[in-house]
Amino acid sequence: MRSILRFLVLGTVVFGGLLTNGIQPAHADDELQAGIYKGIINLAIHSRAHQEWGGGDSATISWIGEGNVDLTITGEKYGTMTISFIPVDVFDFGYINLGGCDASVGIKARGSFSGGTAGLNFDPKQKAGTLYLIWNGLDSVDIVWDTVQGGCWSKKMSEAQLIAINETSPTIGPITLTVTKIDDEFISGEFRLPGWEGGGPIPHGSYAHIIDSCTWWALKDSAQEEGGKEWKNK
Amino acid sequence: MEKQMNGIHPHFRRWLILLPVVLVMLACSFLLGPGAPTTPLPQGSTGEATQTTPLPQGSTGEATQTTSAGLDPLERLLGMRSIQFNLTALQPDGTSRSVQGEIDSTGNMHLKLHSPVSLPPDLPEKFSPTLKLPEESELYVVDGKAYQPDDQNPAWMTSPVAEDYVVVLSNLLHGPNGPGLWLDILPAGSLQSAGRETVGGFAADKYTVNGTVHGQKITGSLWYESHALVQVELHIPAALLDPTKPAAQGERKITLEAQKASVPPVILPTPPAGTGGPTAGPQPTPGAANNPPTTLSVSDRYPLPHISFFGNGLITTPGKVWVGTVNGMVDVLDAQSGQVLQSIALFDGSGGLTQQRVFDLKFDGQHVWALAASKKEDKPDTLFVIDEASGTVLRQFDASEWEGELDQKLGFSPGRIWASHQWIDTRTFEVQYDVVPWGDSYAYDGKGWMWIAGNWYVSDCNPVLSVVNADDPSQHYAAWSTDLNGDACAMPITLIGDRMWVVMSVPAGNRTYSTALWAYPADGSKMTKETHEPLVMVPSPDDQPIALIGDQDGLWMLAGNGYLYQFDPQTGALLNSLDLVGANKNTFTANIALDDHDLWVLMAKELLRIHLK
Repeated sequence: MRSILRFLVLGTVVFGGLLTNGIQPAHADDELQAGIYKGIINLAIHSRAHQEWGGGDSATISWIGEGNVDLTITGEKYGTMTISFIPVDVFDFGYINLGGCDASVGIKARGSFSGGTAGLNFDPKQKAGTLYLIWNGLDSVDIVWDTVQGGCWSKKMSEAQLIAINETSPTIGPITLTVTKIDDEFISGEFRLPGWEGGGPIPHGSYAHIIDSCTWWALKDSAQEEGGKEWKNK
Repeated sequence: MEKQMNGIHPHFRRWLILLPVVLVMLACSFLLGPGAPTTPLPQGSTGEATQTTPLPQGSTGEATQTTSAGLDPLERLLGMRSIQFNLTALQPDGTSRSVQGEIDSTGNMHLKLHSPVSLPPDLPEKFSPTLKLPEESELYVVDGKAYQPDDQNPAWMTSPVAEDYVVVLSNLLHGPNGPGLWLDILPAGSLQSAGRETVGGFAADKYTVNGTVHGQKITGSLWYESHALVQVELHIPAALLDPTKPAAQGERKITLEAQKASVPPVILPTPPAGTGGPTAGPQPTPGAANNPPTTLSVSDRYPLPHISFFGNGLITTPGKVWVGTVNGMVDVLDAQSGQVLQSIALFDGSGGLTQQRVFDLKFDGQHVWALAASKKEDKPDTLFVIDEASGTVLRQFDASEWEGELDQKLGFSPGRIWASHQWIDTRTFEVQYDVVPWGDSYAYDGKGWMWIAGNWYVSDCNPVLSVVNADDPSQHYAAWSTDLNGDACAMPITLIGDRMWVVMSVPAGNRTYSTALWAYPADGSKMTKETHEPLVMVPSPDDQPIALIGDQDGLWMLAGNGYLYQFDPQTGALLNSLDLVGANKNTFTANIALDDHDLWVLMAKELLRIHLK
């Protein structure tokens, strides 16, 4: 009976996978196989800050980036995942009303995250792991301002924007990565940053971080049959 | 209105948020490591393609042959000299991001970057749709460091925005918007020789790309010269870009095109006069003849038992230095030896990792007054009186209902301590409530007037300066009636001789402000008229100073950027500067104080002596 149920579940998964035109989880029940995997990771998060200084000042900042991911599975329970580099674009378009003054303030910044891994932290059986992303700082911050009336305009980031960046950027972590689909040579997954969700005290206001689902995939190196080295040897 | 008159130093706002992290980091002597397993690209490495042998930066000797061994073909491209290149990633949605660069004969680079800006779907109500964010930016990479032109900062060329930008550039070439990652995951047999072609002035070996990754075909062409990738065209199916969208249509087209070129030397422009920035070091200035500059240096460093933070109290009493901390301790050091004589706990539980900030210390000749917080990290709530001789806490006042936030300081005039709206008699300890105008910083002019500086905040800091009769606070006057606002929120103020110096934000045209040092005649009775012209107005080298103090040796400013500045006390001419932090990210400047011989600088976990006499 148990095997029938298992077959039904597996069959459903396989059939569902075949309906899609991409990732086909032929071995969704399997644990990840030993090997080296390479792929990409997409990061899209929001951080939000709000202040009350005799008026509202809020910022919802989007962090969007795409970087490389390297995953090494060494055994039944062991693996490491490394995100070497995620260049990130940071955007905010905010409306600020401070004490009756009006403002439309935008920021655009560019920076990057690096990924670290503290030892063997990816469990192939659980198909999950954790790692930290570390903010490398803003390469540049471009700030523009638009119409602001009432004499309280500012050509700079608002306090809420500063808070949202400062709160968000120093360290993102830990992030929890999970594998959601497995093919023979190709795996894909998602990650979230549960440590961020919710709120906490900041001077004169409160903040919350709302996180989008982030995705990653990786291809098993052995599928390349030394192919990945070809371009380096020419 | 008074409720709004609360200015908070921007450094404090930013750092307060990070304070718990800093506390843990410093307490544990732990720093977050970069954790980035990137491979640094050797500076000055020579691309074999151009057969050049550039001298390392700053070298004056014989040519040094660098090696490209161990570099992959994209790193070899970045090691080339006298080339132009263009990396473009055209996205499935039609937007593109690109890097246009040129590398001169020494390896310095000039880069133009383009990245799209898209409006988010949930724009705030009332947001002006005419607001456009810039999509272009420009960088100069000199000696590996990146500098970005900034029309708001004429001294942009003195401060790099990234320390090792060649590594960043290499990462971009190896990331999803460059060719490296996609070439890495191609299966064996994906590259086929396609003869030789001349591209960009290179006689290149061409290869076609045709490989399948997870059912999706990656196609394109590669051109090599001397093992460097000089041109690339790759087509990446959109279905590979996001695993949640396997049916996505379209492609990412990545092109990399390099060409030989005569590239003029990439050099940074000379900083405008007077904007040399902190790296310029001592800058003798005309008008400073009365105080010829001497080289500033730290004479001694004394470790502290507790951690201090921006603006924590620091004073000297005869033979002693008193240090306020972030955790409710007041450490007393021997000014001769630097040994810790005493650590005074202000609150129950002081000395741990709970924030109990000591906002300020003041000496009335017999007692040390300490303004501190135990309930909220950003607002003082208790005023302590400490016997200077024994260190015993004699009494304390509940200040939780008093106006004042992060920048709140104490003032002293003969027989009185000034705290927010209150007066406290230093002999009887009687408190008179709500008798004086509010302010952050105080300076007594010796002629019967207290000068009080503060801010009320809207979107900028809006400085206010009042003079108050020290015997009759009902006589008080605003020092100016025009609207001023800007960045200088902390508004430190100090008396030197016959001048009262104050940090000020002043209009600089085009709706911008600059920070300046103003000096008024130090006699409050002359400030009772409607208009008041400062005696001196000079630009400030830092827009958010932490502290301003003075003696006959100079006007001293402690800057949030980690620098100590010395000015001529009469003219305000910059005499000296000293970088107290340097590359050490594990510390910061917190406050300064003077005694008869030394200038004392409070850092995160140590006290520095700068011997003056």
